[in-house]
Amino acid sequence: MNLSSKNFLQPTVMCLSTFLLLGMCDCLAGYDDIPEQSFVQELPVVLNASRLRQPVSEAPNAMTVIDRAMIKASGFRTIPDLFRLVPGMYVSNYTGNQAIVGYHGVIEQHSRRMQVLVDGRTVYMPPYGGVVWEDLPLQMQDIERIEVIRGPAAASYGGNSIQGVINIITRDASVLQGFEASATKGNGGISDAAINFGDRSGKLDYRASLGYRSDDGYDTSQYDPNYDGHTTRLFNLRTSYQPNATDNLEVQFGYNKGSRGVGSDNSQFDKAHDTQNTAYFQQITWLRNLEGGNEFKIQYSHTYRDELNLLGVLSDNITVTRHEVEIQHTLHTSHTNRMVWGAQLRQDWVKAPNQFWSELNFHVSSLFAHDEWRINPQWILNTGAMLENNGLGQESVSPRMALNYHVDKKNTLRVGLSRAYRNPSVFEERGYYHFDIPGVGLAIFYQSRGGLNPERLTSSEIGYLGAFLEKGFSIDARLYQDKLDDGIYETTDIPLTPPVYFENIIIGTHTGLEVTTKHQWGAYNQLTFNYSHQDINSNRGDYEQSVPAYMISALYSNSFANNAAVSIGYYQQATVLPMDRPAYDRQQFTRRIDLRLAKKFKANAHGTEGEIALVVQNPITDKHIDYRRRNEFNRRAYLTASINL
Amino acid sequence: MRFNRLRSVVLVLGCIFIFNPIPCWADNLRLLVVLSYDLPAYQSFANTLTKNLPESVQATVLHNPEKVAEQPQTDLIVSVGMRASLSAVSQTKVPVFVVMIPKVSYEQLLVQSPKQSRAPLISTVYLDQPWERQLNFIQAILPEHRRIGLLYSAQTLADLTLLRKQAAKLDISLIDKRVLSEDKLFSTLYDVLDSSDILLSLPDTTIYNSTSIRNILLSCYRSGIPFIGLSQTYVNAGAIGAVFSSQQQLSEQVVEAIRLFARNGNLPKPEYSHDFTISLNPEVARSLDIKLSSPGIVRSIMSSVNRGIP
Repeated sequence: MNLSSKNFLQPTVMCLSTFLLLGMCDCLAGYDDIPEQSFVQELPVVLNASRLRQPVSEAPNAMTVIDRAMIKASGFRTIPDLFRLVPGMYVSNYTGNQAIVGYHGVIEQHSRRMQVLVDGRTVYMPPYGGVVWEDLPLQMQDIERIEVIRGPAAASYGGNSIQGVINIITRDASVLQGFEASATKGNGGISDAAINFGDRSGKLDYRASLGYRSDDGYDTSQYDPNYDGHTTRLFNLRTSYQPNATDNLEVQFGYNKGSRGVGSDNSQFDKAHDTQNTAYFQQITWLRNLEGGNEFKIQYSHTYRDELNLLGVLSDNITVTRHEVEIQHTLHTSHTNRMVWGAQLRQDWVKAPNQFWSELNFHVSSLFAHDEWRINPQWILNTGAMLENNGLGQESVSPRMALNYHVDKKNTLRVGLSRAYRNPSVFEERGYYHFDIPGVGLAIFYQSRGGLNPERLTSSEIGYLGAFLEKGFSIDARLYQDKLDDGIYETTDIPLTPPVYFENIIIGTHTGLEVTTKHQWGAYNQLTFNYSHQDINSNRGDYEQSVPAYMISALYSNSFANNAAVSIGYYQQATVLPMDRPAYDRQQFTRRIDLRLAKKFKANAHGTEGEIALVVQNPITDKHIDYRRRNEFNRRAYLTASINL
Repeated sequence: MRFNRLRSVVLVLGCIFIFNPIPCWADNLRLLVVLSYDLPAYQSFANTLTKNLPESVQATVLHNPEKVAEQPQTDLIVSVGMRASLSAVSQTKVPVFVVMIPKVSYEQLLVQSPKQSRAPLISTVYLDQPWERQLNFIQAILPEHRRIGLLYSAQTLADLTLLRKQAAKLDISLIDKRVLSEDKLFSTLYDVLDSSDILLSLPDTTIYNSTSIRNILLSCYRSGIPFIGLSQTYVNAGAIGAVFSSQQQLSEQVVEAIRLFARNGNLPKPEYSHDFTISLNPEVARSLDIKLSSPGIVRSIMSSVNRGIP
């Protein structure tokens, strides 16, 4: 539990990089005028297993892909908003700078049951096991695509993925040669700027991103002035080095610093003030392409996050570091069978003097294997399992199987069964949230008792995928039943009287339907439509109410021949009462429309391009409530000007 | 009578001319295999070829084409690659069978080497594929992809006029754009990808090389556009498929040519390789949500098209 132990992995990384930089050769370099060279030259393996996305019709889970075109058409400024385009996913904000992304229930401030990865690096963090979205050193412009696995995928992604996985893939280092810049200004204090630049030589490529993002958060409501604006400055860099045809070395770095408005002048102790948040990461990935399409990957990352939260004489600071090493080996055992196996070792260190008795240092280790067997062209069987030890005394094995049947080239059926475990977060297991308030004495809000069992989710689903390209139509539908046992939630010995502690007290069965349809007509019309319906049958009424019975989202986009584009987003959800909120925070039926109008122009004959885009969120309907009644969402309008050189 | 006698003389002379103007080497042909460079691609071709040769052929492999003129008595040279071919043609008077260069380059070789210095007999099996085969291949694997994107430059080693004609016959649109300079490569690529269903690579190392291929393949992949390569290496890199002639297939054709030469001192006419390999990348295809047939089925579709079967 000391700081120096955080560095235990660094020598390994140094050795690895030294090894990688030795002994590379390029046999045909310097023989440029040889006509046969095109046919005999060595080429690097570019589209390897890590880079290839699994087609939706072959994946063992339902999957939603959000690509750059959708990101642009949506007009959203922040990453969490994008998940409104995923059926069954609830997006809201605890405050204007604390987004909530939840899937399938237990909607509460920290969505603890989703795995979130950025380029393979886990970004859900202790102590709560959720993601602090605003602290990610990542801009919308940096994202290549987002793959959202709907349904448990603990067998491949570990214990935080019992409800699903958000896999954010950033743009490749080689994607940008030149300079892009954009500036956004709008009401509600919206003021964003982004600069992206990069260069590529084929062997060494890089892409860098500088960003500034700020807004005032929610408007003042009758319940609270809502001091929840934020200012974020961030930088990220992705470099890729290809010493030869088989190896690829990637180094990434990201830094985010900013202030976040928290508290309220209506509160006695937690007055309106800013926290100062700092987060950064370094990541190094070495990938070797082996014979026969096999590959071996080793990745190390270090993540740091610090929240400096000073409340006059009190403080509530959190510092977290994570070291993570993962090895992954993909191999084709035959023409019809492919497997991936690997192991992960993670060391988390948490210092939060008001939330734990002491600094905590724990190791999470896991071992996983996944097999994809193409029994014949019609049938694909996916099986997998993960063994995970959370370093706090819990160990679990999460198995999964899915069978996909291609009825014909257009229709696919999928049946999936899985059991997934989520090990308790460090706060659930060891939390001790307390303040020694001068003149008042010791106030203990949370005092965990430990000894929790992992949550257990047993899931079954039937999926159907239809792709009718000639009609410009596709459909992805899924019927599922997820049974949660030993669900961890907070409780008190005396009702409404702290200290709060955690227990395995939720049992619930989720039954639901999710449908996505995509339509394309004419040369440029596209419509994505999502619908989800869910029922929960639980031993707890508050749990049953914690998801909207249905949600709808739709995104229509059209680009005209004169370089103008229009897109309309529609988001609707039934009433919901988040589990950790009192009845007056019930979020009523909400409906929202977003509109984006854009016009591209050529600035000069050398290919310099620009675009002006206007986004109006919620232009027609009245304000609605997000998560808490004080969070009134009113109309937002902003203009973005961008240029590519 | 006089006429009959004359006819007999002509016949005899004719027989002598046909059967014995130059020696035949049914038993002991001295073959010199000249490599352009002492590099693995050339060495492996030489190895494949020598393994396939009949025992009656005495083969010597020369790794340095500059020394071709210094070689002792040689009946036939197999020159592997352009450098070796140029040396063999310009520095010797020995018949040369050229391998491992594409058709356009072979034609350049003939133009570049003056007639007086050229070997008396020269022929080749082209390294590249005929357009008809290439287009049949694309149609067999991706019948709905009718707009073929092409990038070319002044260095492209392919006859595009012929390709345009062939594509027009098959009602295929070509979206071809010239890459004016290296820094315009990717803007030109994006233009082509915007209006194409597929990108077909051409022999041109100024466009397709180990430095650029990564960004080309990634750009194609991001646009959901399959890429057709030139060789197995392209398929390994991420092309959806390629039709090409393997070293073994080329060697077999070279051996046939050597046998013919050994029998009657002639070389076959320059032609494309009779046999070819179909290589597909099912994982890339799956990822692009493209259903590919097996190479065997693709081959039979290609041959049925050739036979005129609808």
